[in-house]
Amino acid sequence: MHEVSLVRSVIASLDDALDAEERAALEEIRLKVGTLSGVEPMLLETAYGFVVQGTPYEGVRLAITSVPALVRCGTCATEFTPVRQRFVCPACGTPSNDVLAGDELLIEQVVLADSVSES
Amino acid sequence: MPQRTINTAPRGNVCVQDVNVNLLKANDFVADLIRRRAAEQGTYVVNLCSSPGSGKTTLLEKTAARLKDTLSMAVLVGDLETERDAERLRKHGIPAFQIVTGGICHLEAQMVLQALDSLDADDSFDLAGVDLLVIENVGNLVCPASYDLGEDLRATLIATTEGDDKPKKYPRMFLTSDLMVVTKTDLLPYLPFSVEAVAKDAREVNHDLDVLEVASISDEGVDAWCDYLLTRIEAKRAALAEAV
Repeated sequence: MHEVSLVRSVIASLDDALDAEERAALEEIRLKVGTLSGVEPMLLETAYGFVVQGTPYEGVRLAITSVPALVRCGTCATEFTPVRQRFVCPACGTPSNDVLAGDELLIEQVVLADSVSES
Repeated sequence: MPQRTINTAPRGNVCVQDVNVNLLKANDFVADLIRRRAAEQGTYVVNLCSSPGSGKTTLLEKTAARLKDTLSMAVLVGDLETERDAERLRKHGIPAFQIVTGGICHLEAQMVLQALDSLDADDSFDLAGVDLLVIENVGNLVCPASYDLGEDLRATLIATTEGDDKPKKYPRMFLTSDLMVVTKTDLLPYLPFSVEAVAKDAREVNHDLDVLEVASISDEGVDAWCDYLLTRIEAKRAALAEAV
């Protein structure tokens, strides 16, 4: 599974996005994981626990929000969540792959201890 | 929306900062580098995916035999261990290079770019002269689906021996593919496998998916697969010529 690769890219992205002071104040990482992303949140949490051992990220919480699939019909504009992987509009029967949500793998936010913003 | 946290809620005052970084951003950036390089060199790139043992290498052996007088082809083979697939392809006179992932279950764009760089440094091989570059991915229908390798075509093989329930079990793979090739169709008389059912399921996931049938061992369908590739290689060349 590629969860370990993804955790490494979480860490690489945050090494990049945060300065040293922000990294020191980091308390929580908030991820958005779509149900179409092929990533299992539970495995991602497990991988995270192992990968951050002995790194500055040890002790930083990982919060994962699961995002359900949302697809838009090109014919009647109905927005629907595919049931049993059927990407077909339930209102008019037109197939659609116009995915509005559910394929994201995103670091959405970080939570920092307040000392950073005050100092 | 359900939110699961590993530990307890934060203590004291905190500040929430937006990041909004796509975790595949680094991969997608490198994939674009590969795509640009392939366009400069006029190379058509295929990312070939499937479960282990569904016939990627055998199909490529047949493809090489059929296309060797028509165009120049090279293969990058991703595998957890061993050089076996690359050795098989070299016997057919195709330059084939193994990317041993050392246990990683998929190829990432960075691995492909590194392989291309090391080939560029090798005087015995000229990537610029390659019309068709096939990247044979690691046998796996889950993880490769998330990694763009800069390909023009993503083709996923499904063997009749695997059962016809795969598209709904691995939707992301079929959602992101351009073509599904049903392989080992010479075994259809002996198996409870319906090409119609698998095509219907796959198109419920991705209605734009093309479907081909191939029996590599008996050469059935190999011509149609090669013609499919040739048509697209020509179309890419024409588009590149127009853009110049």
